[in-house]
Amino acid sequence: MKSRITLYRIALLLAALLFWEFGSGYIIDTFWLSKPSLIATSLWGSLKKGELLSDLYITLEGAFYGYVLGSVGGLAFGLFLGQSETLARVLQPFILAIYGIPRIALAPIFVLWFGIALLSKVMMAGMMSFLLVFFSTYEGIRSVDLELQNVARVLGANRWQLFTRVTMPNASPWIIAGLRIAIPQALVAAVVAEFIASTAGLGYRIMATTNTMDTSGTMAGIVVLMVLVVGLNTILDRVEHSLLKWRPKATDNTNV
Amino acid sequence: MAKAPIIQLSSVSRVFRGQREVTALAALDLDIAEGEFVTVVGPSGCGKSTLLNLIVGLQSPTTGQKLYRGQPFSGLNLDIGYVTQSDNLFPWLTVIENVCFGLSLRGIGSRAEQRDRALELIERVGLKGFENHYRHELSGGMRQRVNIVRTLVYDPPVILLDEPFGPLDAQTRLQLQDLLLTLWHERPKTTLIFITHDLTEAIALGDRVIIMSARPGRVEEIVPVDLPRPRDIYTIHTDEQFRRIYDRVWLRLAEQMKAPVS
Ligand SMILES: Nc1ncnc2c1ncn2[C@@H]1O[C@H](COP(=O)(O)OP(=O)(O)OP(=O)(O)O)[C@@H](O)[C@H]1O
Ligand SMILES: [Mg+2]
Repeated sequence: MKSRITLYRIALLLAALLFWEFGSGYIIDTFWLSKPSLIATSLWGSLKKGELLSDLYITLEGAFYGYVLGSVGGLAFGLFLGQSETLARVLQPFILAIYGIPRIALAPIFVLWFGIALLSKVMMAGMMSFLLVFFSTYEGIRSVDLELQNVARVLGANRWQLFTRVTMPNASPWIIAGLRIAIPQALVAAVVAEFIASTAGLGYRIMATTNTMDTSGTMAGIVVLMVLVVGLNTILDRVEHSLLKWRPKATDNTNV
Repeated sequence: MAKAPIIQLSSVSRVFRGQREVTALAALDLDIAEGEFVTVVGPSGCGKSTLLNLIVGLQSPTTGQKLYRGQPFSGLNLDIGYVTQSDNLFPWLTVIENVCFGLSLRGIGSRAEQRDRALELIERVGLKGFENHYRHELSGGMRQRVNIVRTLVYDPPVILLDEPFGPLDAQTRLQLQDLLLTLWHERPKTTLIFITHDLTEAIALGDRVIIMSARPGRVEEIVPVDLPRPRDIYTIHTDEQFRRIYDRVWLRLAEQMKAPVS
């Protein structure tokens, strides 16, 4: 069953690529949409020039630092606020307002504040990760099952034990989910910062090729980004699954 | 009753204020002796779970006084173990980790000793081979067995059980009743307060059956069960004396069930 699905997927992908390749020039205009063989050539070219790897490195570096800083901050702040009821209630409307800002809209001002080099990327990716991880951590802490907490108290848990041995594991699915969705988002944030102003990186390359009507180059950049996100997601799926072994799988059909 | 009371409740009441004020317990008096096995029956919603929550200290009474070994107490009483009505297993822990949880929180024994104690009980309730399963991999009855063992394992002086055998089939139920009696005889000083809907179970296990009134819950009547121990749980219901007690409890309870629901 599983292998048949995989087979169908590969077939679908091949069909789409073939259609693109041979439809290009007839049904669709190669100038606007390029075609797989041209994209591959463009990729190969920038790989040989060393551009591809250095662009990749520059973008990933910004996304990575931002992700690490933002996640640590978001986790800490989420845990803190999840513990203090009063502060959480005071801050709630402000937090919701901040959450409502389309975060991409902050990119220009971030570039203005933090320059066109590494820092603005780190800050964009950091803000994105911070918010995502913060919200999911906070949700996780707040969602703790009161009955389980009471059972733990009766069994002898003090406040610290309650936090480390009930609240934290109970919140872990939320926290892991937050850490997980923040990874591709941090990458996107770094690329967006590069769109605004930069001198290198994947986002820069996509912008630069678009400006010179080099659609193959643009598509090449998008393909790299796509492969990166899909690859990261696959890895994260595995990690999440092994960390949350104790959770029933949706397909198990067990009574919760 | 010559033995010293371990738990005393005097005119204890509990009112819940929500959209609608609900008086769950009203002026309830109850004395429980050390080493006693008390069973509690009463109509659904009459405040049985609330009573246990008050005794363990998860909730405090709206009025009235609680004494533990003659001393007033408020807050959580760690001498009291509580097997809750729903299983409340920690889903992120395996069976053995759930059972060791109390021992580990309280720092009783080394890790190896904790494991040994846990394994012994897990085996006795018929869960050998399931030590490393998670909650979602267990049936309802298995979860309930783990829930019971999790409290028994650290030997609290008082154990409250809220319909612990509720979700079990008749045979497993008998086996576990038998096991509970055996384990209690091994710990004769342990006091048990056991809520059930099953009158046969209440009489077969208890030294006294406490019949609660419909809400607001009070102690309607206390029926002593003077059947000799050790009891044979599998045949006791054919006993002449047992039948007499059963009829008496049943009549009292039926009156309460006929009472209009407030
Ligand atoms: N936290 C609460 N807030 C408001 N009302 C409550 C709360 N807990 C219990 N009650 C009310 O108190 C009454 C007694 O509840 P309780 O759970 O003690 O009944 P019970 O005798 O254990 O019932 P059952 O046999 O069905 O388990 C019910 O009417 C219930 O609605
Ligand atoms: Mg109840």
